[in-house]
Amino acid sequence: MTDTATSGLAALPTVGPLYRERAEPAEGMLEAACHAVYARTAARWRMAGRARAKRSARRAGAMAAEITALSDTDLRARATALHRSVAQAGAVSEALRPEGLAVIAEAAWRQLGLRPHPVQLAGAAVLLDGAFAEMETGEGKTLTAALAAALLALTGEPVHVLTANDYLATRDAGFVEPLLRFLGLSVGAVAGGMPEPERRAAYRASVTYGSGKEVAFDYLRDRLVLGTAGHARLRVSGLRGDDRRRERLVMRGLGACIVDEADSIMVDEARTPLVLSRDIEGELPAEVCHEALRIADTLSEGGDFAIDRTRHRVELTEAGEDRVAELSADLEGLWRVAPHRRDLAVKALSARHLFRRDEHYLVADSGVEIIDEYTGRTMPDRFWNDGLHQMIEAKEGCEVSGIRTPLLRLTYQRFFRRYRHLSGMSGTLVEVAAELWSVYRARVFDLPTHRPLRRQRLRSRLFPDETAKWSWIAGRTAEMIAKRRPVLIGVRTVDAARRAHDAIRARGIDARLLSAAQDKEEAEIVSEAGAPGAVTVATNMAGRGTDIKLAPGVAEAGGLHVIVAERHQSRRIDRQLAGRCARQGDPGSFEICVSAEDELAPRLVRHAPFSRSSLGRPIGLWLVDRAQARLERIHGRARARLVRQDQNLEGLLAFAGEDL
Amino acid sequence: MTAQNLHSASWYRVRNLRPRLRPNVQIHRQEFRGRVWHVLQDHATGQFFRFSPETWCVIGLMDGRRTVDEIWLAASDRLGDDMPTQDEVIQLLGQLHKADALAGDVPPALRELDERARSARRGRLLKQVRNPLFVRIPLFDPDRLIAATLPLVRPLFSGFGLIVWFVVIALSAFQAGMNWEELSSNTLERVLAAESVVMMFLVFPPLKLLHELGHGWAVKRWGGEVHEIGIMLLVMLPVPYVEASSSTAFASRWRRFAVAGAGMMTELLIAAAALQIWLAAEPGLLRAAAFNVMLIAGVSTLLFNGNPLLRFDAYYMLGDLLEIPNLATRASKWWAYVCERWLFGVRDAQSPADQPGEAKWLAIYAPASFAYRIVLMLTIALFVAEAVPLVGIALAVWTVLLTLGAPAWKIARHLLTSARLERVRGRALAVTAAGCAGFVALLFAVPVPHATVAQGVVWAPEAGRVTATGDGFVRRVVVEQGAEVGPGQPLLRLEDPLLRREARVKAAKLDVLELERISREAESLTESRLVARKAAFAREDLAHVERKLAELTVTSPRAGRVRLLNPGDLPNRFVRRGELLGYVLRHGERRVRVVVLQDAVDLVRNDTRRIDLRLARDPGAEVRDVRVVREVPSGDRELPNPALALSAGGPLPLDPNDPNRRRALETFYQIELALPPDLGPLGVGERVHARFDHGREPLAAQLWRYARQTFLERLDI
Repeated sequence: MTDTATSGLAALPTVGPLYRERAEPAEGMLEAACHAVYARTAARWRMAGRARAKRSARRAGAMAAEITALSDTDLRARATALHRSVAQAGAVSEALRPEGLAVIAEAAWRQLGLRPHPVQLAGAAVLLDGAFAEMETGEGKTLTAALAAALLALTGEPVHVLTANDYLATRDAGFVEPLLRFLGLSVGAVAGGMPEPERRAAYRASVTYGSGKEVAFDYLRDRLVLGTAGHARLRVSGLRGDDRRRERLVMRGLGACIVDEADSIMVDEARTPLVLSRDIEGELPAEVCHEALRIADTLSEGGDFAIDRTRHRVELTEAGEDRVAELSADLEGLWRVAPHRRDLAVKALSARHLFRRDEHYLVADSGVEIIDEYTGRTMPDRFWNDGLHQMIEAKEGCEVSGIRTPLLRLTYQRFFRRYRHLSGMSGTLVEVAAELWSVYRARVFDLPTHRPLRRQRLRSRLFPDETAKWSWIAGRTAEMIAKRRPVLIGVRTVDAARRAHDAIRARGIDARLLSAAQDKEEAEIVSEAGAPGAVTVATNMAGRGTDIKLAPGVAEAGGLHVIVAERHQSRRIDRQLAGRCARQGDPGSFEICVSAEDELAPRLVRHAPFSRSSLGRPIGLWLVDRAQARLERIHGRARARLVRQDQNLEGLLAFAGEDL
Repeated sequence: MTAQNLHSASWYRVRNLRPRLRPNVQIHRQEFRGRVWHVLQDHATGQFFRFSPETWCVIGLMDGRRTVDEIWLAASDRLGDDMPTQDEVIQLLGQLHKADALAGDVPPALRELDERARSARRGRLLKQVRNPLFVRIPLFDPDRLIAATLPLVRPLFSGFGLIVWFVVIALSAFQAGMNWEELSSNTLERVLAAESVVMMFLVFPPLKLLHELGHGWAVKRWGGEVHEIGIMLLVMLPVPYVEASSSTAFASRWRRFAVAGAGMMTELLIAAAALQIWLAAEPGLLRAAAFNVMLIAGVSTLLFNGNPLLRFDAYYMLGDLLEIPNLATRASKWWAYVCERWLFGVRDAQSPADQPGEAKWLAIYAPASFAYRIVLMLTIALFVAEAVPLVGIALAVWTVLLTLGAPAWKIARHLLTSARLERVRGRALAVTAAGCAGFVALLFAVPVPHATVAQGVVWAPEAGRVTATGDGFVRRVVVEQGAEVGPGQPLLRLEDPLLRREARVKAAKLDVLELERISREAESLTESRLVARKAAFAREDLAHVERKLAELTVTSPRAGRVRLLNPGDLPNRFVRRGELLGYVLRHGERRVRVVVLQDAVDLVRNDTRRIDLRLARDPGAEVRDVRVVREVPSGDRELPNPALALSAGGPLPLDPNDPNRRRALETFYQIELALPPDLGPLGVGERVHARFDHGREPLAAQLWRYARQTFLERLDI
């Protein structure tokens, strides 16, 4: 479903002349410190908010009988009345919530054939509250978001529902369309590669679905149109009736936002700022890249440079610097200046040792394409900056492109803070509750499951090497298939997916591969992943939001079995992957397999024979656990630093005028 | 410039700007240690920015036509290996903008301007609150006043003036030296006399005002401006101050030096004038006032303003002298650098000592200044606490917290958040934690020998005294030193040649009378009786002389061992009757009387494990493990021996009001210690150091006890 529905647009109250978004609050150091303390203490007492959400849900439930009795026409009339009062109030006040939820729930039942259960209603109430709901995977978050989005859209504000990827955006938009249409609202979806007019149409809809990245980039492009003077200029041109600038805008502003898989988008991805690049500006000559790579190849690790894998960074030692100077003595241009020389060497070394084909990037016809480490998809319009991209192109023998200079840079943190109403959901939020409060001033409420959870966790395993791991996984898969259970194997990289695939094929089992290289067949693969005996190997992308529906009879066989073939960057991603099984009361099981050769395995595990004794294995697994926790901490700090730097920069860069 | 990243992620924001310096910006050229730097003043905050030649080259490229990107490329062309990173260029632009020195082609960020004004206001307020012992209250803008009065003193601010000043000061110093006796005698008493205190309060403010005007005139003289004068409450004592920072822009360091020194020079000149008055005037009010002026303007100024460890005049003078501006800040930074580079292993840490020879000064200054500040703060705090106990204690605690706590907080924040430490944060925290743990362990866990050392004298009972029974030369010492004697046993023999002759004369006289009596017996009974009477007298006379002769043998007053004082010197020495020659002591009778001051007496009485003695005469000899014989339970003020007076090298200051010079100023306690009998030639009255060993105790406990005692005693709580 890539088409966008824009009917019913005329009925919408028009948005004011302004591009609405929230001004960022200025905050002193002391305030920030208080909030940080609050985040770690009081923000965890989520009682009051949860009680309010449950009350709304209960009241909505109480009204259900009355509303069920209405005819379609009467229900529609009721919806219109609701629309009017919400639009008048300009917000979904607490008093309006029970009725609103009840009406929309009934509409959902009639249009989608799904009756929202109380947990979903409570979840929607949390979202309306501008908070975050932790709901167990498979609890029907899509419907929850739709309920809240529909109600929020009644205010006339633009409502964005952000998903983890384009696939989910299109899928969810298609799913909720009948419901919103019934309520006189429209829905749109944006996806990568969509032309501008279509995008504009999608944003003109009452509710717009899109991946976090797409929406954020659309916003960046809008900011560029608005220019430095921003709102003031827009207002003036509006008064003059000169709307050319407005016509170039894509969005209507940042009104309400519901972030599905909030931790993925707002926390994991928030580590790298969004950068909108201009087309070719300068250039890094191909021969310089080749020279740099040639020099880099003669340097030795340890002596000339060191690789910091945790922080993904290469450092040149003093000896290395001297060596580079020596090797480039007869070269011209940038090589003549020490800082440039150093810079080139570090870039070349990074290209050689840190960035791996099929893990960090793919080589396509058009050149090097970055793989999004969170979604596993390629991002053809994004580039590494300051010559790194060119270096990697040179390394892969592609044509070396020109350097793209950034036009605009925005952190996700700042982007989300500009929404006037920010809310979200995920199966894994509690771990990041403190961060959500410190950064977004948003609280997290965890909601219980609708039906008892029947997910079984099997013992984690530690293998001495990759080969042992893959062959065991293949054996395990065969075992499960014999029971007629489907199997999902979650891996971290495209490369690992390929290896898993090979190992399983070697056993004569047919497996589907779900990875960045082939995302066109995705929906089909997902829809078949629940069939008895189906084996699916998936990179991160399957970890979020994908609902693998069990085929008839599979539940009786024990449901989906998930093998987490490697520890990911955070426990949350592992939990998400495990959350693919045992959804909505179904049975299911998962297990975690780790090898001493995994990237996350600490050096101690790599070299000590933990995996060879039954006594050592728990220790080894625990060490891997610690390594994962450490990585999470490092990333957390990196994000905090990013936010801080962002604020500091604002002061420092004041001479450059207001930021966009 | 070895920063890791050449490129900056924010470069796109600035790369197309075309900055240039505002035309009215004042840049001053200054030379420091042979390098030319450029100094720029931010008139809004009074801050100064100092640019190195490399940075200045970048600034020079800002002409309003080049874009920042072009400037950077041009700079990398010109500076080669010294080229700045993009972040450094951004940093520089930010600094220039903050100093309002930048004219750009972009509309200003209004919010940031507003924020900046707000934080400047808040900063000023915070500064007041932060240090209640140094509160500044600005009064008015004295620029015109100083300009108007400058002509009066202008001749003094010249080479000729300097020579005159030197001559006057040298002469006065000479005169003061001549009258040193009178000037320096019982200064303390004079200072503490009530009328003197009042006088001091009267004299102090105008003197200090002149001091500050001295700075002001000097600034004005060389083209600077003074826009703030006010009152600083220095430990609640009002002292004027002027804002003379515009002298920082002076190109000549000697002028900067002169501005900083002008205050003290003024005061010394005034002190010299006061000396003349003091010398000429009759004793009375005028003379006393002159004396006070001399004291404040001469002594207190040199002690206070002349100390470079505090940020007063001498600090700036030292900075100019060494050509190290901003000495204090950079010294702290240097230490931070040393820690980062060598302890934490930050490979690209940059030393703030960027000029030859700076490092050693920076290395010395920071710890010296810190230690001095701590001591000063504690002294002031204690002084205030004594005067106004409750407020004072709060103030003292606050001050101590600030002096120690603020740097600690800064260090902690730096450790936890500094981006520079990011890669080594683990190590940095570990090293710091280990350092702190080591320090705490040293303080709290490692027992350190703890002891009280007190002075005393050797003491013996009256009954054992051996004194000369008559006047005479010591002819012979009959017994050996240390020999066991019985009562009445001769110890030494004295000789008085006159007495012996007298005895012979007397005996001869008696013989004559005896013969006369016998010859007269036959002639006349009456006469014979008369002569017999005479002979009886003569006999008695002789007996008397003989008794006296017998007394020349000094005998033992009782049984015991002989301890003569200086036995080697005795033979042929003339002694007078009653002179102490030595002691006859019984076993264990020799003692040491130790005086212990009040603050240590509890500890000595209740927690003494062992007592060792050491002789003042022979510090190598040690008597271990002596025993307490007697403790005098109540305090005393009468010295047991004049050797214990402070003036004689003892611990007790004497009460100046006691004409006998035997009364101590504070109460002490006496403790008598036994001496082992076999101890060699330890004379009675000899000075002894006793060490009361309290076992081993961690330093923290010792310090705590000391602090508590100090407070208890001085604050009467």
